[in-house]
Amino acid sequence: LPRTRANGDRRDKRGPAVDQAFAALAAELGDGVPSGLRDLEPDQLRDLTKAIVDTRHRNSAALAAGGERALNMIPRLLRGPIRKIVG
Amino acid sequence: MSREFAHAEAHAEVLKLARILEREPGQLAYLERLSPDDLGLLRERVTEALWTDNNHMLGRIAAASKLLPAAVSAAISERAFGAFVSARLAGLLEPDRAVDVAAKLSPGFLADVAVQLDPRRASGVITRISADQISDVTRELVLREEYVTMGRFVGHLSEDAVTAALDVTDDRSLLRVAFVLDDKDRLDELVGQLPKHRLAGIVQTATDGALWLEGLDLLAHLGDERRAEVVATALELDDQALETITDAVLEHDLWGEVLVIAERDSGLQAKLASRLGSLSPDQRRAVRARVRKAGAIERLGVLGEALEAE
Repeated sequence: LPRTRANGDRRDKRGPAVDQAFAALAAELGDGVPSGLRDLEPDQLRDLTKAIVDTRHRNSAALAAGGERALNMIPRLLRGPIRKIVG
Repeated sequence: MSREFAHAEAHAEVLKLARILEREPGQLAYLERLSPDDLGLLRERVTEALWTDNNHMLGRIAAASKLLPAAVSAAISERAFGAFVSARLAGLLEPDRAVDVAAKLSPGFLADVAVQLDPRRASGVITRISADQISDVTRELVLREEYVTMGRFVGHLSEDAVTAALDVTDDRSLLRVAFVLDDKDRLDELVGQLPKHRLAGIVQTATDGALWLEGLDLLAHLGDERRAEVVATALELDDQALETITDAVLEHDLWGEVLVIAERDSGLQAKLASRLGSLSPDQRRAVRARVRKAGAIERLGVLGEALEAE
């Protein structure tokens, strides 16, 4: 944001909300989230975090469903040994 | 880097991130105000997070798949797991085994996997895939206009595979891929692999398709020798072509980037000089400062004179 007084005031007001939303994003991604992302609005940070969380859930669901479907495609004789490895 | 290039790079990063998060790029447009560097780091962090989820389970699936013939593994990948899980598995399988499985997959599904794959995590596999198969997948990606995906892979392909991919990539797609390439340091080498007639084709395509933003970015990333070679082709352009370059320079503020051509082309110098009047006094001063900083005033003929006469 440009360093104007108006924006400075705005940043002060939105500070805690930005901190909170940024912390939620950092909790999802771990260390190394660029501090430049603090320039986003809290809603935008929350939307980004949600997009990441949704993708992780979607990917995990795809893996679980895929595993079930895969078992049905494996020759019967191999299902036992495969189950043993996959657990 | 001009402001326009920085914005274009930010846009390219948002496209990549949107692809990873399966969102429409417009839904993440608010990210474009961030710097390309911050966006690159963000994409890195997101990729890292997604690619460490379920690692243990995927490792066990990869181990179990060794018991299956490659054809069965391929069928399971395509019909049970889908593109994302298959992309993850590609990085966990032994490279030779992964290549055997990939050989049984359809080009369409491999293109789906390519979109999801982080090439750095399966580089050992990608470099082993046959040039013929890379050619088939590239054809599919070109059809889908998956320039971002193609740009992520170039740095991981074998030399033969790059040649095969270039053969099936039309000039327009090539310019678009070059613009979003992850490793732009390779552009000089890539352009060096093109036959001479394609250099002219690229320049002509930049003109016909109003892709001079991409064209000038490409030139800016070439070494001196290669750039001179391409520019020599560009100098054969007609008046209409010079007009479109001038339009692109004015529209996208590419004064710094156009100097490499303008220094060698008096027609372009005249064209740009005649359009200086359309700039505001502040813009003209900024252009003059940039040209002076580049030490190019003397080499710009009538354009240099027009700038100094301001």
